[in-house]
Amino acid sequence: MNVLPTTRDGVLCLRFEGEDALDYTCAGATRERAVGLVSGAGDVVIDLGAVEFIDSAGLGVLVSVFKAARRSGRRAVFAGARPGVRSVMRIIRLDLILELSGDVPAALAMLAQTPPAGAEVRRA
Amino acid sequence: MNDPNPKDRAPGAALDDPAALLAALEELGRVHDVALEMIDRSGDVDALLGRVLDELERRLDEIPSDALDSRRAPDARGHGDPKLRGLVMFTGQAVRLLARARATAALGRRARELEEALGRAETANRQLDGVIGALDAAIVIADRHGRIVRANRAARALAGASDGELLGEAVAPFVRDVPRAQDGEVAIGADATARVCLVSRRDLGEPGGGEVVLLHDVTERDRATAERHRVDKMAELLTAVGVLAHHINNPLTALMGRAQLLRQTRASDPAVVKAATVIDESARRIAGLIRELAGVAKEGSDERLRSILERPQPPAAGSAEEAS
Repeated sequence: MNVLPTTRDGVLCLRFEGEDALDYTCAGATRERAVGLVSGAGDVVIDLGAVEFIDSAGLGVLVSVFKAARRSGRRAVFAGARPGVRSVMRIIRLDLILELSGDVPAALAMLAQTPPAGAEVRRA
Repeated sequence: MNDPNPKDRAPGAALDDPAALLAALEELGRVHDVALEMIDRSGDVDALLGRVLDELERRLDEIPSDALDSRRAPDARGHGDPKLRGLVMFTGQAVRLLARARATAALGRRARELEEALGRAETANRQLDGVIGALDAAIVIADRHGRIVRANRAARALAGASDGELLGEAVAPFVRDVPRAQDGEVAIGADATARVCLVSRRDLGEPGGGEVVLLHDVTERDRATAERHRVDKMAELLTAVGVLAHHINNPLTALMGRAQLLRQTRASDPAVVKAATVIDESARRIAGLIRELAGVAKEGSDERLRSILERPQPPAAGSAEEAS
């Protein structure tokens, strides 16, 4: 799984692409690459639009990226998750713990607003 | 035997498999321990979320990858796996705790904001009190019902009221017939001690809907104006007196000279001498008065002029002899 970094409206966007599944086969390398890109960057949007499938290892990558962003005092929003990916997120209520949005523009709009009530992030 | 409460069953436990039941109970215990730890941190949303993410990351790493594989049909996933059941139980508790902690934090933040806003309002209130208290002009602030909510020292003095006495009273005595948002003049107080004030009524607008009334006491100014008018008139009068005294003096001198001449030339006629003497005495009295008036006009003293005018009039010269 490739992690393609771009910048939109001054916000780092990481697009997971190149393979249809974010699973145990690529989780380690993807985690390392994504966490490395998130550290030290500004707020970040993770574009999951190209991820067709995910398993627990892939979900672990998302949690690691979210943690890395918080450690750097950033916000991370996961955009464009497909229904199948969303369904497994819902099973473990990850959709209520991470910040999700329908697509990248909506994620950028979320970041432009103030953080949700009580969802302070740790500032570096 | 019926299960009394299936929801309380340990995650993934197969009741007929002691080993599975033990594993499930151990998992339940771990979830319970983490839940207690999360409760301890629930006062700090950030710390709580950090702990949740750590635990979530660890648990996702532990469960079989196919247990949450979106490629599998829901019924083919490993929902019976005790680790997954433990994870679901953990995230369920974590989400509830996070929601509660966020709500508490939001309430706390709102309370702090309210407290800060209250502090700012109190500071502004004190500043406003200081400002209007320092002004010489009387200021009265009324609510939308026309009741006084603030009055400065000058306003209290104007109304003869002590501290706080005006609060809650009607603003009407300060504005009388002056319409709202307009200017006018009012007399405040009893007739003998009434103060004349220029009044400006200005609306404060929403949200209070009240008004501020500014009163400028012009009683002393009116008195000073009247006094200045009186002094000006008196000066004009004194000038006129001076001019008149000058004009009267010349014919008077001629009159006295003629009376003197008559007394000398007609000394043998007692009636003429007597009449000439009366004329001379009267003329001298007039001359004395004219000199006094000229002096007053020169000094500009209206008090001395008043004393001359109020002096008792002496009997006319020769009137006693004529009467006899």
